[in-house]
Amino acid sequence: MLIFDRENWLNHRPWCWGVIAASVASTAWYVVYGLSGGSWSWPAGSSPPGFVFGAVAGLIMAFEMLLWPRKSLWRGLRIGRTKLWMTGHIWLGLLTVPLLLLHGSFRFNPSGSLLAVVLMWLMLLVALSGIFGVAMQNLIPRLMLERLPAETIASQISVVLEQYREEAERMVHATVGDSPLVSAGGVSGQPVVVERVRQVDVGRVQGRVVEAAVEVGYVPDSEPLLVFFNEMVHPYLRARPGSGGTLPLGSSRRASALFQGLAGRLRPDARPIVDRLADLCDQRRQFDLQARLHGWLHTWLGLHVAMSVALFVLMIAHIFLALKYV
Amino acid sequence: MSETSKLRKSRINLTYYRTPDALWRRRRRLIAAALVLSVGWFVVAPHWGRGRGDGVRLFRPSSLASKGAVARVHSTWDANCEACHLPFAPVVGSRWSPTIASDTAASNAKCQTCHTGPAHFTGQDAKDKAAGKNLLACAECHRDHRGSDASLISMDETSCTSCHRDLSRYAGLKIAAKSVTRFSANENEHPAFTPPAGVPGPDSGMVKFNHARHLTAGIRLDPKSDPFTFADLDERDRTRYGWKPGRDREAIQLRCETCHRLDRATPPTGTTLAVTAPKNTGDSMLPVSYENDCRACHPITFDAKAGNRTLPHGLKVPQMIEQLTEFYEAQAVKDDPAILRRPVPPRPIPGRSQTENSVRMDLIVSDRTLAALKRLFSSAIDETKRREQGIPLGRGGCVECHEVSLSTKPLVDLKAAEGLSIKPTVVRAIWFEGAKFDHAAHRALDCASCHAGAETSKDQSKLLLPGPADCVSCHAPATTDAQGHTRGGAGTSCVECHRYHEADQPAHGIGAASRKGTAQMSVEQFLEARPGLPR
Repeated sequence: MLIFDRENWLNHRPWCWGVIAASVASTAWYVVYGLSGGSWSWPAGSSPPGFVFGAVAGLIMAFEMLLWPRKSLWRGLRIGRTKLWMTGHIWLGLLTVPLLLLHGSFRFNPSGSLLAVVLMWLMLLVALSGIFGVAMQNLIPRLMLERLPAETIASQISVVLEQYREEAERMVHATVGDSPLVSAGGVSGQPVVVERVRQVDVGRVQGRVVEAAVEVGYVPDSEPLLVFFNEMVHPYLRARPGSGGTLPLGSSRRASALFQGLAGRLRPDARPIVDRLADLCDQRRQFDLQARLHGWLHTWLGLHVAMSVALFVLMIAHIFLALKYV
Repeated sequence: MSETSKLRKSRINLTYYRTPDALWRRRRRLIAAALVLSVGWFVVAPHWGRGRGDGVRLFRPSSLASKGAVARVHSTWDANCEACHLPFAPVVGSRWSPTIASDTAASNAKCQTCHTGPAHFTGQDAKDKAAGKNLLACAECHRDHRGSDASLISMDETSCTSCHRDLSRYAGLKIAAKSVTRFSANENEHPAFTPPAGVPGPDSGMVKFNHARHLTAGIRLDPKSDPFTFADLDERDRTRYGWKPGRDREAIQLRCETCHRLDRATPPTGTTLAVTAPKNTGDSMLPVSYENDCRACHPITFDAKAGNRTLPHGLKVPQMIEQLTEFYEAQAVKDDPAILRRPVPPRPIPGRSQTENSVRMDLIVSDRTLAALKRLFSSAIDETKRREQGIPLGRGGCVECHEVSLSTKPLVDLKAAEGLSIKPTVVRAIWFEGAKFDHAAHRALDCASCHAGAETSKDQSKLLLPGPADCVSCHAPATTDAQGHTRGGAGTSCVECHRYHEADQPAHGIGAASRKGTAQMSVEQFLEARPGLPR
């Protein structure tokens, strides 16, 4: 991830000016060449400027594709810093847009060469998806840091949720005791320890520490808790990650009201259990948000890479055919 | 209340990264699909058009490499790139791509399989070879892949001026201008129109002609003279000059088009038009010829006593003497038929002279022949003498129109007369050999709009050809003045007026032998564009 902020801008500035200067110089050459006949005519891709722009853009695209092996196959070799590779990938990738627009004479109409037009559109889509990705990678992690204190590894959300569900079930059954409402095989009557956690911020160190631990066992008249769990909490914790928003507990405001209502119907001894269930549901809501944000953060990359692969393969075909039938 | 970071960490299986997650699996599937689609397109398309699915544009072989549909005349080979292209040899030398393999001569040979013709201009190839440069490629000017309706011979002026703005490297060749930047009346941008070689300035056609007199009603030699009327013409020629019944005594009024006719014109009976290409498109003027345009008023009479007897046009002096001698001998026989009954020895008898009568007849015939020749070649026959001798107005023999070379000896006998000669005429079918001009397309204009002074010119040596200044009234970028009058707007592309390849053969049409390709093919060979295929 490459951050663009005031602190990092000094690193990006030379690249940015380089791309602008190269774009302006290329356009100037293109325009001068186009006017060299006395009146304007679009220089073809095989004209001197068109050919140079195409060749340079092709080399850049080859470099862009090398980021893939650099980040996977050659990771151990440490050929240059990844940050430098990423910076070059972004800025040189941006430079290919004006170069290829000039090389292709801004032709997006499929009446001409379909391959060339497909390449032009793919180039644009790859560039746009890359720009989108850079924007997402600069915005979403900050958002996640602010809004997702319970963030976990995205691929493990369903695993964690399953653990939450089991934990919640164990707490509820411990509280309810041997109620006929407890399904056969359910764990019941065993006391559980519920910890109260506090957020600690000391300088640049942040973390959560245990403030108090309360042991909760059987609490009489706790059947409403079991009913609430079975009807509300259990379905919510079992729902597929990212799809719990439609359930009653998917809304934090409604969940808060529901849990307050539940707490009012139970003895005070059961209050830590209700709070813990509310906390698990809150974490579940954060996981939903995390799943959505994670999708925005990473899905573009699949499209970007897939289109880049297609672009690279078709570019090689284009080079071969252009040289063969020039 | 929430869980600690430590507890949260403990919930994660530390080997989770070894199992690809859904996102990663989806990404791999997308990449695989992209690879399959892109490689598949490249692999399948070249084989797709063979007998199936050519309607699916995505899979047309040409959709991969072609930058646009070829012209309709080449559409048979739209999917067969190598019909015209040599692999890795650019068809246009100015392109940068593989310059090492650049060989336009080989690519040109591909074109010349079906189309041949002289080089763009004479001597160009030799100059390019000497300079170590690529030959000018056919495709440099004849650009294809611009759509099925695009013309292969139509191009914008920058296609020409990109080279013609500086032709200094072709110094020594026959070039009208070393630098042409656009069409205009400014000689720094476009040279003045250049008449053909041998016509440096004045008309060297060697035919005397007074336009002003011929365009005067009645074609009077002076205002007091009698007008030339339809009655002075042979009856067969009157209609051609606008005669109507009852107008025999009306003065003849010639117009430009009376003599200068388009090549589409219906020829008068018994005359020939086979001077220009037999295309009759109406874009060229037929050259003025004696038989078509002069004979009716200027018959070649040679003897007032011979009535309307004329000599054919175009004879050399010995042929004239022969024809005149035959005529006068026949006349002598007619006058004295007994001459035929006198015995003629099979061969001259040595020591015996011819008979007196025979000698006398020979003298009479040669005297009359000589007199007729003197009349035809006399430049001193003025109008008074013509009238005295009964020579009709405007019928003054050869010298009325032609330049003659007189004999170095006094014209005392026919031997001396053989020294007379008529200077050959040069009546051009095409004046600007490298240019084309469609007179029919400009028929709405009167002739004097471009040929200024044509109606008043008395000097045949003055060329009445238009120049760029006459053309730019219309052929220039459109402008509108303060009064709202529009000027210009007609095309200014070089190919509007210039001809190529056949500049030395301006009358050659597309079917000229010089345009025949280098190969004669069977239909199968033609469709495959491979002359080497077994028949």
